[in-house]
Amino acid sequence: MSPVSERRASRPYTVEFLRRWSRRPAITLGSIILLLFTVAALLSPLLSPYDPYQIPEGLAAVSLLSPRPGHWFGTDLLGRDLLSRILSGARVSLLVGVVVELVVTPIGVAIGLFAGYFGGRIDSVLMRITDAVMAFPGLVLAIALTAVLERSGLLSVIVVLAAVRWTTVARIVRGQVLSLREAEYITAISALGAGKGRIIFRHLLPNCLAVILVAMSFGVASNILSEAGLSFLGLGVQPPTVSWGSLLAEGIVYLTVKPWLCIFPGLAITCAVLGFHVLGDGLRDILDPRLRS
Amino acid sequence: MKRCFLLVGLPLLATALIGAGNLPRRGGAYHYTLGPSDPPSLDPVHITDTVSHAVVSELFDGLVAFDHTLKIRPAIARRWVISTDGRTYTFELRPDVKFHNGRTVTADDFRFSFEHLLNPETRSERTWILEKLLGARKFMAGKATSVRGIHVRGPHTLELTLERPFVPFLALLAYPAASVVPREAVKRWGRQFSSHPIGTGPFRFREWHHDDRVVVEANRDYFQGSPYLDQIVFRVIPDAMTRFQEFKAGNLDHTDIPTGLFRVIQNDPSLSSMLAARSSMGINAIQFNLEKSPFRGNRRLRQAFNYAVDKTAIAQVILEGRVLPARSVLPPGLLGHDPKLHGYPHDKEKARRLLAEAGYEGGRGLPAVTLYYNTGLVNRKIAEFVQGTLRDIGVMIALRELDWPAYLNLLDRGEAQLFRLGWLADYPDPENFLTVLFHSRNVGSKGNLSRYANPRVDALLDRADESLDTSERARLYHEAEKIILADAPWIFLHYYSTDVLIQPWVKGLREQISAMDSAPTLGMVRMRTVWLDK
Repeated sequence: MSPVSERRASRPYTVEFLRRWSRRPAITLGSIILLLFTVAALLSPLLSPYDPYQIPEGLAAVSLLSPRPGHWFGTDLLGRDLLSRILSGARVSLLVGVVVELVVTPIGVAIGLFAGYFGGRIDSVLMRITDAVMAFPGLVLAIALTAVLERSGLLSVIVVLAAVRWTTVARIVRGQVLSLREAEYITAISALGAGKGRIIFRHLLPNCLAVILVAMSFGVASNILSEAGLSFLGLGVQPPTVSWGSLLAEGIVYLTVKPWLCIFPGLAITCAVLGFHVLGDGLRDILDPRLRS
Repeated sequence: MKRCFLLVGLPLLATALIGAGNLPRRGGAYHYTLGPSDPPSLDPVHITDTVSHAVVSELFDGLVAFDHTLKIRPAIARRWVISTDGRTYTFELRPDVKFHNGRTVTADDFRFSFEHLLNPETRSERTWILEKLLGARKFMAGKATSVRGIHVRGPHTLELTLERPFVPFLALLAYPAASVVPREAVKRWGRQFSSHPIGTGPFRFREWHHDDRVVVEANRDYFQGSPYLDQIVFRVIPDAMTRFQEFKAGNLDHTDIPTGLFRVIQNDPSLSSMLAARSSMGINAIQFNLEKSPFRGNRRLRQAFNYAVDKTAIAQVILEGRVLPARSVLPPGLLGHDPKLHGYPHDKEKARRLLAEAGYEGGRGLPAVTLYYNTGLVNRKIAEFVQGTLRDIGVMIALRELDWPAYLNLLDRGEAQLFRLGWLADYPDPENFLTVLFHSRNVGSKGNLSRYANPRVDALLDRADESLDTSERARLYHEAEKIILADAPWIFLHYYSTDVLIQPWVKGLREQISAMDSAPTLGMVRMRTVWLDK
């Protein structure tokens, strides 16, 4: 069974979707977390108590302050307010997370759809390429690609992560298409004379939307972590631009003596990743027809 | 009662004496750390870095060596005479020096070793150490079969003649590259000599597990007396924090201090007593490329940058007060250093004014400038700080981080506009700073990467380099330094320091750390007189 084939249900699909959404508090929690982060990222110039890049005069007196009123998350080595820097970092981290997913989803979906529907040689070739990329540990491949690109920065991070990430989407969509292809309703419309294009885009794609949405949600979380990893290793965004990963990398040397420099960026990463995971889990629960009560 | 007191008292007294460190104790293995990298080579002719230096200086000897005050002291040469024209050096060698393979060292071994260094087939990176010998260039070009300036006068008498006088020549001979090597071993192993190093030093090579450890053991027949230690284990440990933890666990006998922990260690009563910190002969700077726009021919712009950057904040905050802000080129302790020079103290107003006079009022019209630096937390923080402070006077610069090999390549090609680069003394002489870094003949990879060229400075340096009179040299170098400072080819940031933690049971190390050491390699320290009180 699939959502599309249930159009005849008593309530419109969107209403049904929202009803199921409201019955799951976890997904609401996830959404609230993400909403907060998104607002914080979008409005960071307004919300930040200080300029995240401004190095204050009389540096010695404001360097590495512990959390206190005025500097709720403390200050870094160059006297910059950590809260303001985390807000500024939220823009980069979320932007990378979302943009990479927006870039890879169409690519991964196209590859998955064609490989899954046509099967045979097309499938073999596409999936072997996918396997080859997946065979490398993602972060290691990303590091290698950064070295090849010979520059680091926001754009290169996005390119590198996209180059690694598309495989997951392709795999998931292909798996879904493989099972849908054999479904009776596909056989039926095929028998009615529907063309390949119509079958793929009108029937297979909409039925894959649920898994794609779930994969995107987990994907954003994974991208945020990968970006943090790259920036932590110094291969991500370049100073003065900050991301959560680069803040973490700056703080790590002070882990034993000024732990807040790591704790706050670490918490930001954890919360955002948790938010996308909870959302992804919830989406799967309400979108997967097999889990419906 | 008296008798009883005596019986108890004597051993107590003896223990107290030994405990006080009066009697060096033999035995034990010293756990040394080389820091993050494996020695690139253990062949003296291929050594250019402090890591290899630390190991090789225990395995090999040259004619002379540095003591911890960086004065030249005898090594294999017992004494020497310098001719009045300053060109000929006659060395009398000790007759009792043996290679680790048992053969006695003669003057002819030095002739072989020096020609081996200069031989183009050896492809040594350190030929400049002996380039000043008469006929060395001819020999290197393949136009002569021997070096005219090397003369064996007897089995234990060696005479070296220079093309022209050069006062720091003895300091060059104290370098590992000028060590004596046994001809038979070099011929046998060729490029593999690095894995089978045989010298005359107080320790002999035992084993080398790449990227993990090098082990050397005591040479009991050493001509200056056997070392106290049985062996030294040189460990390669990539992460500074891991080294620190290993030190705290007692698995390393000394270590360097991780970035960010200096103040913590200073304030910790037990760790601070193990701290050995001293200034060293080096300077860190951000260099302008004087052949590139917008810095070419615009002294005021360079001065404006200099006044804008607060070096005291860098020294106090980023480097945690370990170092002194730079006010000149020559670091303290070096001939010609003048504590009265004041360099470019932080003055934002002056910076703004000079920027306007340079033609870029408020930073308007200034072309894009990128500051390059090599990977490293401190380098990155300094770059961010400079970027942030220049922003205050209206100058926007971009930053670009590169890893060391790519970085050096870029600088050698002269493509970076603005870049960070420090300099550590190769030998304690102002020639090694001013001539190498600012003489127009050394523009490019030879050392003058800012591509500074000033005929007045060249003339002063030429005169100073060839002079034999120390006070005249000091005066000439000082004069050249003042002109260089005014021309502002660099943003002079800070002098360097060497900071290590040493275990309380290590004796004889702390007092040996010299102004040319760097942490944690301590390449100038001689381990022969170090002992363990545990």
